[in-house]
Amino acid sequence: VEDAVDVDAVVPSGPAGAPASATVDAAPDVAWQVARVARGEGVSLDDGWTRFTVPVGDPDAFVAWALGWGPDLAVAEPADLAERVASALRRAAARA
Amino acid sequence: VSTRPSETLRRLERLLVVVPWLLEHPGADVAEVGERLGVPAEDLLADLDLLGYCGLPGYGGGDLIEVSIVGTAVTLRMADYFRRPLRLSLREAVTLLLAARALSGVEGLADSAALDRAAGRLEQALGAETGTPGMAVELGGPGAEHLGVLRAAVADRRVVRIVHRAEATGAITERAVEPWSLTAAAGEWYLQGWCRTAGGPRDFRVDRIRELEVTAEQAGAPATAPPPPRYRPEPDDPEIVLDCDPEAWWVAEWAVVDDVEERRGGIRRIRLRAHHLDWAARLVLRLDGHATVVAPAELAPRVAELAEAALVRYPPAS
Repeated sequence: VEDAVDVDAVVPSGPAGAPASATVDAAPDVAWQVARVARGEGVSLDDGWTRFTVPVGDPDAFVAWALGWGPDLAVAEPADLAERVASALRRAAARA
Repeated sequence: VSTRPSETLRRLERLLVVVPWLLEHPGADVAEVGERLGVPAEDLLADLDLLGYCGLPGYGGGDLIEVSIVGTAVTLRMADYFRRPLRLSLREAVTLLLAARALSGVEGLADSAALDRAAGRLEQALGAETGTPGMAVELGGPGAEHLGVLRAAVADRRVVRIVHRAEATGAITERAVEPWSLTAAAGEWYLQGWCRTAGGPRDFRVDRIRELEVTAEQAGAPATAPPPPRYRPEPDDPEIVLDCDPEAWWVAEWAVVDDVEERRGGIRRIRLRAHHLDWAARLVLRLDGHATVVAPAELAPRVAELAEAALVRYPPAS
């Protein structure tokens, strides 16, 4: 087996133009779980939430992942992914 | 777990060869089989004895491989389920393929040609091109750091204290658990044991264990072997009914579902049960409009409620 390889450094990011990572804010109860998929340490926010950088492979999969956390996670950056999650939430809120 | 791994592997390797051969040669002589395979007759008999315990969970009559030895003639009869055509879900097929790949990488399993052939067929069935290079399996993932500690705790029957987050409710609890086993199921590791806090047997997904402490206290052995970890619907669990378009069909392969009904317009009506409504609500959120809630009545409003709560952290629509 070769020495450890940093996959992120070798594998190109997803489809052209897709960001390789995103900034997400996680609620106190789930921060430790999000930390397991995050790159590096999280940064504590004033309201007790934690800001993480997480890798993004497939943007669709990322949006689904973020939605699955419900109110416990919010996407801060990049703006287009944050907007995709927010508009999905708006549609869901309107469906009731 | 008294045999050393290398002996276990040798035995596994032997069984992989013996079973197909015996099926093709019913009534073969024990001594002859042993000679052909280069195995002492008593080892072969021990293997055959083990086979009698092999089968699918359920473990009733007709579920196990039957071995009959009349005089010195051995006959195998596979349990009835082997005759039914095998239909694997995508998840099962991938799990099996990865397990086969991981196993074929194990040192000491010399002649794994049969295993490679089976893995090759699985790959083909899954749509991979033959000879696709470079499938690698790394056994690890979130929570893997707990595995070593838990394995030792299970071996010594040490009571563990865990802080665990339940997927369904998001509730975080601290529990004292008498550990019975560490089991991999459907791609996740589970700690199975007697939860003293709940006063009953429980499965805990290892990647949801936030804190782990092994105490000095030793616990007794379980009364019976724990069943494989899997969501087991209980009578009171609400039935969730979702109309799913093709983008959401994967739910039927991923969750334990009661029923899938084909409807017009590419819609599949999927019925499943969940301990908690919020688990289903988060699933519906995640499916982003590809699933319509049919039942229960309180689910759709709950989805909207969670969405509203999540929107608090986003700027209002422009």
